[in-house]
Amino acid sequence: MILSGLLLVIGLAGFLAASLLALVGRSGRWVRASLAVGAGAAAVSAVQALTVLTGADLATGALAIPGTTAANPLVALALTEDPLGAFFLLVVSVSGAAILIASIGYIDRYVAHGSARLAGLLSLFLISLLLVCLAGTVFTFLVAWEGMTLLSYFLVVHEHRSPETRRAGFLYLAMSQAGTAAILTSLLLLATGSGTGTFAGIARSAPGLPVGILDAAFVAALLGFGMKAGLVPLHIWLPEAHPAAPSNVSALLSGVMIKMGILGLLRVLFELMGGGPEWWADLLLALGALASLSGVLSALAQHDLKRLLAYHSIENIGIILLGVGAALLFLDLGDPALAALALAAALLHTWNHALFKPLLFLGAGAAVGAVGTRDMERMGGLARRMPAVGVGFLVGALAISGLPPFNGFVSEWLLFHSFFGAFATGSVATEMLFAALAGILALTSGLAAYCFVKAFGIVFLGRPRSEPAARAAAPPGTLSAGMGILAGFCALLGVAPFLALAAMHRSLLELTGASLGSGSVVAFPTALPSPGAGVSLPFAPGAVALLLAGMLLVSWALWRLRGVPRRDTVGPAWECGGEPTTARAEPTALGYAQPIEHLFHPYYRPRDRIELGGSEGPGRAGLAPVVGFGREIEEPVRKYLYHPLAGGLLGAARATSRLQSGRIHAYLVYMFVTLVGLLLLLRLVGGGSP
Amino acid sequence: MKARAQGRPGPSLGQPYRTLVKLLGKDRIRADATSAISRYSARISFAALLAAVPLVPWLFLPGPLGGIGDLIVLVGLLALSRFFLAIQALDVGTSFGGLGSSREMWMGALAEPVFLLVIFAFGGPAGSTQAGVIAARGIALGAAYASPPLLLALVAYVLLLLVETGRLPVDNPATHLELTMIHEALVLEASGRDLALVAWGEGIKFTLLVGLLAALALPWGIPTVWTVPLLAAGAILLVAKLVGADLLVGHLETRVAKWRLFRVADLLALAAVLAFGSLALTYVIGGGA
Repeated sequence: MILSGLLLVIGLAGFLAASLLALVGRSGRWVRASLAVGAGAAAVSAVQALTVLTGADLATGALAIPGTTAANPLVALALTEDPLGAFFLLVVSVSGAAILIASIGYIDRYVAHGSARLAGLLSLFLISLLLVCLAGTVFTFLVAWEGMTLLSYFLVVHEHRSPETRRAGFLYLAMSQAGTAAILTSLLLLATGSGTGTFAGIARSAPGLPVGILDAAFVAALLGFGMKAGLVPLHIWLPEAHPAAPSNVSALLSGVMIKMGILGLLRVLFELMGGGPEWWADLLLALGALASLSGVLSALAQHDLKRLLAYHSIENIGIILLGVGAALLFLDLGDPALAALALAAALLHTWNHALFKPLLFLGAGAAVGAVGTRDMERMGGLARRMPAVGVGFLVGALAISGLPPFNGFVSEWLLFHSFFGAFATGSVATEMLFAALAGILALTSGLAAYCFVKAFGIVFLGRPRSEPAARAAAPPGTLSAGMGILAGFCALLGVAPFLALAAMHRSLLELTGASLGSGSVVAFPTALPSPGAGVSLPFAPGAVALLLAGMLLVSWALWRLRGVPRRDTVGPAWECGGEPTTARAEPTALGYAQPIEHLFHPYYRPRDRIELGGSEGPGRAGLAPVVGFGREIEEPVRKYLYHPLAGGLLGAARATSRLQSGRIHAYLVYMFVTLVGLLLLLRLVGGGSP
Repeated sequence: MKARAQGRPGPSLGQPYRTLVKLLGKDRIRADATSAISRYSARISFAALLAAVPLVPWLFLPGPLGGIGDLIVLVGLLALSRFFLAIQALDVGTSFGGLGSSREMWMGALAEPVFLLVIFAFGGPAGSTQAGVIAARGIALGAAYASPPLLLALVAYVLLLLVETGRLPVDNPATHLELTMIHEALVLEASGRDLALVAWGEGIKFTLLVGLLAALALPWGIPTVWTVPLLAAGAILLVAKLVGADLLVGHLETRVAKWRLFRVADLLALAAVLAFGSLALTYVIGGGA
């Protein structure tokens, strides 16, 4: 308790010092020092999270800021040390440290465009993330949340000279403010009747609130936190804002910030309300399935590398949400063991995504920086130019595709097993629901593998598709070092997920009443611990990794069975003996995904754009030569939901503006009418009570 | 065997192995645009397939290393192997490689949910996703194991097998006609030792999936206790089952022509519906659980 409080103060002071270093120093050396100090502060925060997670006394762990609690309970500022917050703090600080280290090498390209401001804001942004994890009262939470939103907005619009970035930033800010309003509504609804603003106090009284209020609070929380998490159909800011931001910022936004939406949802759903009716769970599952499938389908159609990654964030949030929804449903069905399994899958996937997505974004940043465009069709062959980045991106691609022996496979495996466990619940409807969800999840992970073969293959392999790609220079070593830390964690959690399971042990116990394992780190090659009677988990990640390593040795040995080979003969590709071809004959990102576009045509509804050359071109027999081909795909939700909505909003604004005549006596009349109206409403609703 | 059914004399059974040994002694030719991926991925892909082998109960129950992973792990390892082949094909930077890679990943992505549903359909009644446990239940139940839901799941699995191993009508392992090949286009640029491992891996994958078919659909005869005569009988039965299943696949391949690529989706959708139907039958009628 004292130790962790001390560490917290050191961490916060470190971040503050880091941002001051950058903002005051302003030169390249100071900026690099600032990022290094920030990374150190993040490491301290990670240690703090660990002391909380392994500490003995948790109930007393509230750090109130003196003088604020007594005056008005609603605006009390206090931090708490609960296992869920500490788990997310661990997630944030590990990824944050790695991203800051990587930024040391990455930020040089922004020297002319305020690298000092960028570095300073990064450290401040991490403070806000830290406070969101640790907030113990509604007021603290909202202040931290709003700080996080505003700081992330400034980070997104860092390259504010481009109109595209400004537009993305505005969309993000507008949607964030609507989201915060929804969160405020939800938390205030829950706080009614508790007489306090602390989460602990609300958790005692909230489950007793009338059903209508709980339902309203749930919907508001889902809207608000779902907006931040990038939940379909509230996600449209995400594929705009992430590509527009500098890549190290995208890594933080996508890897870490959108997880705060998940944290908020878990806090409200499980901690404050203590679960909810089945239709909440059904809604979450439906939204999760929608998000995961539509996210990966949209990602497949992209040829903008960072936009592709942004759509994968939506997909992964969907997968996490499937776990959360399943946990809620299993709780309703009275099966805490399965609920713990599903929630463990969701939490593990949250951490996993916080590791491999920054890894991919940093790799993408290196590629984009070297080639000078986000268009994948102009990249290619980069693995030869920047091998370390290529390996890092490959690890991220394998992990996000859910392939063993990396961490993404473990969380998806756990989720599959929680679905499989539903077959023992005895309700046909539940069983069929989870069979369908398992199919969707498997399709999603298969398509993700498809998409990342495309992304890795087109960007890093083959022949360069443009002049800058052929001359691309390797990024500084610190970028590779940051990526290396993240890749190392991807492998570590894939081989020994016990470490993560132990870190989430207390959260699972608190939220579901059951847990996987005892919270201690189980021996390395054994099978995963069972969360309860009737659920067996026949998978030993460490042993499978060992098996794979052994088989690698075998295949190496077979390869050398008939002597050590001579050096490879290197020559032009064979291609069935045809003429040597150029990079123009290479598969394109567009063409690579064509089969899936063909199959899901009703979802994509692509608009083809064929540019025909002028009549003087070398056309044959009156046919104009095709000089360009493009395909534009607009997401259905944008077309059918947001365009009418934005139109309606503007129309309503125009209608309201007619009321504003500018005459004072008219305004007085409005106020009077409103007052009378409110009094009448009170009379009607209140029924005469004071 | 396939050749015999098609009215050709065909090469001898040992021929593929002779080719393998020959290829293993050869050096590689690499295309000039390739990176480290081309250097290693054939071996990684092969190792992933080898790692999947002990997850199937071949000769005794529970399988050799059945406890460390279930069928979902097996699906993951197969996907890992496919991933490395697919990026290798893109590494060469030719149009055929990309074509094959795209088609292979497309089919793989669509096959994955079917595989999962088939696993659930077989595993649901047994309460486990481990091949060994499912087979043990089959042995314990005897003839009662062959229920209607199981037959549906079995048909779904056979369809899946055709897709996963690239047999007709999905892909023709013998074709080199550029527009129709899928898997062959994928490995077109592999040579020497790499080609040997890729071809061998293909054979291992086929045997693996057929062996799984035998274990899931015809579990009888797999010894559950360790005695020499039982093991010997099990081994003979296993070979018989494998040959039988090979004959079935060979027969199917002879009877159908290659389909258009996009009809594969129909085939997989059919398999998915069958597997789902099997699950529905199990639980709605109440035969299982």
